[in-house]
Amino acid sequence: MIGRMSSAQMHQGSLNVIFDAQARLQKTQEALATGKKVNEASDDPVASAQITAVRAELSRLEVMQKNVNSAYDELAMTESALSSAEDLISRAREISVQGANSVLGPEDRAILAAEVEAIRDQLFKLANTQSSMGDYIFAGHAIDRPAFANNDGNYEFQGDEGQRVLNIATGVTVNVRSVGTDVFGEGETGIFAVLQNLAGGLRADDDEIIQRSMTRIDDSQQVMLEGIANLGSRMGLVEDQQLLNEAFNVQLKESLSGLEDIDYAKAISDMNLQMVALQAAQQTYSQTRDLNLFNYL
Amino acid sequence: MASIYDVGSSALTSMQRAIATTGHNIANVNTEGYSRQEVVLGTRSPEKVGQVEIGTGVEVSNIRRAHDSFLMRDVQTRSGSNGYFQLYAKTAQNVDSLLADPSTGIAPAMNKFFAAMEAVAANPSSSPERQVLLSEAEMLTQRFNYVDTRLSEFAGELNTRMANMTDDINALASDIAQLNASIVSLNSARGAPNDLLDQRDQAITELSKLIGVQTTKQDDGAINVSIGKGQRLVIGNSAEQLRMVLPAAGDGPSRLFLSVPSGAESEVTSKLTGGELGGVLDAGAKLINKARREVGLLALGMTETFNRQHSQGSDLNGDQGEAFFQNLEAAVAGSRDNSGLVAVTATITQEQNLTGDGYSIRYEEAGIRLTNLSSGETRLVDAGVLELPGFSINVPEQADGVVGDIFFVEPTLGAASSMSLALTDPSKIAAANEGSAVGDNRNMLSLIELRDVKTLRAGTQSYTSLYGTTLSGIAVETRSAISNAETEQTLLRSAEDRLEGLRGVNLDEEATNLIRYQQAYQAAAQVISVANDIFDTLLMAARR
Repeated sequence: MIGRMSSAQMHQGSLNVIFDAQARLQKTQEALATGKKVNEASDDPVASAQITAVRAELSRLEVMQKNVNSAYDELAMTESALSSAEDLISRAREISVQGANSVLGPEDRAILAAEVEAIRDQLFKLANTQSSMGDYIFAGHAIDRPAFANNDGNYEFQGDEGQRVLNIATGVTVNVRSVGTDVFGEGETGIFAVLQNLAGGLRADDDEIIQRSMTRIDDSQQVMLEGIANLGSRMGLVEDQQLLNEAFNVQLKESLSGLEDIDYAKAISDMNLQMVALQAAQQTYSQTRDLNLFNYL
Repeated sequence: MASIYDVGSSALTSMQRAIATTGHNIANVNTEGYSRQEVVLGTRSPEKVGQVEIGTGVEVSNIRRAHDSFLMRDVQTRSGSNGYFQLYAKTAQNVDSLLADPSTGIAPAMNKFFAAMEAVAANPSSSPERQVLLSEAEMLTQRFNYVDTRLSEFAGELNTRMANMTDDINALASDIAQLNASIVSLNSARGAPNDLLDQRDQAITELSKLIGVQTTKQDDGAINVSIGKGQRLVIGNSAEQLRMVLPAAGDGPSRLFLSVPSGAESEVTSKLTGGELGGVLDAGAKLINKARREVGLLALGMTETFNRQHSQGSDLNGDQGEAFFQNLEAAVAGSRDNSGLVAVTATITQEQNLTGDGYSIRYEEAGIRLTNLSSGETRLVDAGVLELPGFSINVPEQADGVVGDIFFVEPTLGAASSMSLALTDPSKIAAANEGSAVGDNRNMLSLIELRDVKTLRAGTQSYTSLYGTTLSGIAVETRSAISNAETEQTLLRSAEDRLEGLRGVNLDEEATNLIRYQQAYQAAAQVISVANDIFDTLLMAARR
């Protein structure tokens, strides 16, 4: 209960009401102009701390999606090299079947031998595939030199067992490379030695070598197919993760929006109410400011 | 018969005074702290004529100011807590905006730094990615520097304000003492020096806004004022002085000393509460220093753990990884008031065990006192090497008689300002495991993992969680400070409203008083005129 009021109080009171109304209106205007209800950290400190955390998560996710894409590109590049290699091995197997046919004469077999040698050279090139960055992709960690070397018909792997692991989500990694020896084999049983042998067998017209090469090609093909299958499952993993990341992205953006975006309908209705309140306060002041007994003396 | 003139003129004089007082009220309608004054009229002593008592007119028995000491004290108390929370909330908002800012905060720079590391991991031998990583690392250290420098500037601004407030408090204390002297000499049974009382109330209110005060009214009319935990500031007509000692390092804690009547002085820094000065002291200790210590802890911890992992890898040339960030040192500052010759030193022993607390070492009569500035825990220690979590302090013996020297040991505060990159050659980034070929990214992956592995604060916090904890701690503190400040503002306004309602000048009321006294004055003049007529009539009758 206030019995009396001082004249200064009446002025100050009206002024305070106007100030408060102006401050509220200004906040709503700012929110409408930016579309955000948290424009400065102090608007809602706790929400802004959460916004920072969600933004960090989004930024990390963006990097993860970038990694997903490069992982997929790397795997696709390897897969394409290995598919071509597998085609060549299939062709080499056909040649070995054809060459095993006893009706063929030495001249025919020499032609076949030349084709096998061409296939071997193509495979050698594929085994030394380089990425757009110049990495020898089948060399493990030793990416700066060819995965395989040809020392006078002696094919040697000069890489290592190293993997190229990428983070594609928090706690989820994928190896995007295949080690040369895992897909092209090594030494006696390596595809290069096997094809070298086959070509030699064809030229020497040696049925036994041709026969033995045939089974070895089968083994090599099996190794290659397993390598491709393994790549395929890793590509599947990456694709799945991409979808999961996208879903997570949507979820994060929703919570970010919930934290910082305004509800336009509510903000506009707030603004209208606040404008009415400010006008009322101003009118009240202008109508009451002259109420003073001295005017009538 | 002459008494008719007397009665009339007593009314004329009294009404003139009443009109003058009304005029004084009207004149002071906009004076801050003014209490309207009321003329208290009383009858003069009656005259005995025969058997009857005849009235002899009116007199001004008192001029009273509209005052309520309870309401006044309420306004003063509210001013103090409002001053405290306004300043505290404002500082909290500044700190919070700085740390949570989407462009200037540490978090966005950290995000970019780790994104650049992922890019190196995806292409460990590629030079452009490595170059980008170094640039982002540089940006990150600059962001650490910027945040800590800004926080230190906030602290500096608070110190400047504190110096101004100390001056204002001293000036107000002198004013109050002088007003006490005048009021005591002018006080009488007939009335109090109202305007001086108003001025003193106003001075105490302004003082309360600056610092929490307790007041006690003395029988002679003086008001004694004490601050903090009963430390006397004004006693009767004498005032004590506050003195501020700036920190030695420029941005550490300032210290406040209060003179005492004996001429000596005593430190009151930890005893002062409330008001803007209390707000500044708390904002410095609880907000700014806390934020600086935690940001520094992250800078130190990151420097150490990142460098350690980096040194376990090989760079592009196959060499062992060198320091990625420059190593950091603990800071020790002695107070400017120290008199002893020997200094306390500190060494960081295990960054990952640091807690982010600051300490003070104070040489006292009773011995050497170690105080944890963050928790307030305190104990006496022996001279020698003190082992604390993550660091050690070397506390030397002081010469006898060196008492009151104080050293501030801050292992993490300010460290973020010194954080810098050590590596300049992109090929020296050790992305590979030791002895591995250039296509290896395993050490880079291990470095990336550090972001979420709990390596700091004795294995309880990761880079991300430590910064997150700092941020949400400040955010919660800021929110409650803002809401307290709003509440206190409302409480102060309503206390002021109640006081102003009681004591403020209302022009309508003064207008009616004016008319009332004017009419009484006119009527009294009429009484004189009638007395004159009567006297004339009598003279005429006598002349006949």
